[in-house]
Amino acid sequence: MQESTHFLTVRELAESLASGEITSLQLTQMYLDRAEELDPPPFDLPSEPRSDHEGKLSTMVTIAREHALESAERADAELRSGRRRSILHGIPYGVKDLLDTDGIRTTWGSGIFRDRVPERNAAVIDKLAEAGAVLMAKMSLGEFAGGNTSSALNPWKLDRTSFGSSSGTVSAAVAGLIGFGIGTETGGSIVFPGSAVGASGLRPTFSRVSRYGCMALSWSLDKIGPVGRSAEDCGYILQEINGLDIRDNSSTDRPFAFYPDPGSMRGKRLGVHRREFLLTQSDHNRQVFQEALDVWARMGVIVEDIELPLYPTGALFTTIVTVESGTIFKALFDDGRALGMFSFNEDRAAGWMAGRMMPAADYLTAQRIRSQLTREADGILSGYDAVIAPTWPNGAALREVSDGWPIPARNEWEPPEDFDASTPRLNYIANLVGHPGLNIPCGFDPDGLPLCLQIVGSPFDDQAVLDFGMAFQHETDWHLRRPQYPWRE
Amino acid sequence: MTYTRRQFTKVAGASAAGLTMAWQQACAQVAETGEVSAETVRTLLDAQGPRGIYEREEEFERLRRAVANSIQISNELRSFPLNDDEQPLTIFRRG
Repeated sequence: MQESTHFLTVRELAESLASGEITSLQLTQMYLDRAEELDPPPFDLPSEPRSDHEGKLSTMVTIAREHALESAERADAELRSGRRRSILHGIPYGVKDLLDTDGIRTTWGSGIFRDRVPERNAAVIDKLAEAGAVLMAKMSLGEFAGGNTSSALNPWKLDRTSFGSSSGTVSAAVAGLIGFGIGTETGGSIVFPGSAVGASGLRPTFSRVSRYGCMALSWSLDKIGPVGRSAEDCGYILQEINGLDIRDNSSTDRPFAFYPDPGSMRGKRLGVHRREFLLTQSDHNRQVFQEALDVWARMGVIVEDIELPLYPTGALFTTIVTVESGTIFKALFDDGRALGMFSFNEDRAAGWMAGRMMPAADYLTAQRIRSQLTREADGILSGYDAVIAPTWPNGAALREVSDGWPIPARNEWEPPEDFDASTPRLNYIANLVGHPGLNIPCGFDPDGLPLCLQIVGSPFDDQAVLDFGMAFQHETDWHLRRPQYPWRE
Repeated sequence: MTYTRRQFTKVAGASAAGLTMAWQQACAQVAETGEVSAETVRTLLDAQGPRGIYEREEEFERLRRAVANSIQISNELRSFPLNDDEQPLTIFRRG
């Protein structure tokens, strides 16, 4: 089997399985062997890579070897009998260790729950089982989905952050350790780490995918979404995991059918939030982003600059997340278990408790402002098929190590001299209002770290953002670039 | 301890008012000094139930800073120009 097999897209893996060129068992064995050779768990929890990583990425908290092999054998038996459940049938995947898996430990990335073994599956796990996919690993994450904690190392350069919190999932997808992945996002946890490592990752429209069985960080903001090696991968995965689930109050009955052909892009309208393109301090990076926009322009896409409204998005996130998280995790404070949280999370825990103390009126004020923002953002999107901005202005920043532990990425970057601190950020607006967002790679910075764009669409128009991503990836090969093992120091 | 209906009404009313007053007190302290006093934070904390990990001085100090930060954030939201007709995104819905 060729090394390149690890890096095949979902469609390519599905074609290999359907033609009998490879069996699910062989494929699963191959990914398991590669994971155990290049990235063997278990790691200490919380799953933060130490400075003595010895060249390992720390993408996985648990490898479900026996479960994976049994599932693969079942998938093969069904294929032999002519039953193919979906395009994902027989493909091994990794899921962020935030989603419950029956009989397989689910730690939420925390030492407090290192021995927690659920007796149920999250809705997404059941859906993927129904689709014939093979669960092979639980992926590392920032403790309790900590947004700025970089659990996995970056396969493009080990001294760089992979952001958080779905960093284990995105790093493994890019490093060819899993067939595809499932991540979660509250305020950027799929697209930001996806940007750091150059993964294609989709934050679906809020309420498209059931959160039942997934640790809640914020009931009104959490989303679950696919991670892969192409935009097309994300479409195939979303098609299998979306759908109404009455166990999740936010769930809506808006079925998603994926069309892998984006068709002609001529005449489609792409709104460019130009101010964010100017946030990078690097002329090289600005050039990379501009050349990416030119790709769509050459297709006949109408590319126009837009302005986004200025709202207190940081205050909205902090208020909503701390009040909801403070409510969700109250028991950890009462019985003292919160003392077992990773030291970098201590301030975060205090913020949750402070959120609990906040008057209800302030929480409702935040949700009223969010409603007003939603109306305004929907109005802007209604004039375009999609809008776009750099997911992050620069390549992944350096990680620092202190006392043997990495200082979590604080998303620091050197802004240009003319930086306007009040520049609205597409990602935060889109997350607050529940718009779908796709991260795709579009080039590299001078240090060889991926640069990415986020394409955002109207609610429930996930297909539109995938169309823009697929059309771009038909014309470019950035999504096909692979980090080489041994990973660069 | 059990309360008579009359006692309960009195205590509950006083507690709710006390909590509101404690938060107002905290807001005033932040406006004045940028910090919230330990006494005020304890009043707010006790309304949440057991003090738990905040019996520890180090954790309590962390919480005191977090409360001050929350108040500054609340002030930012309270001053945002909001349409009077805007409803919060917490509407109970069926179907």
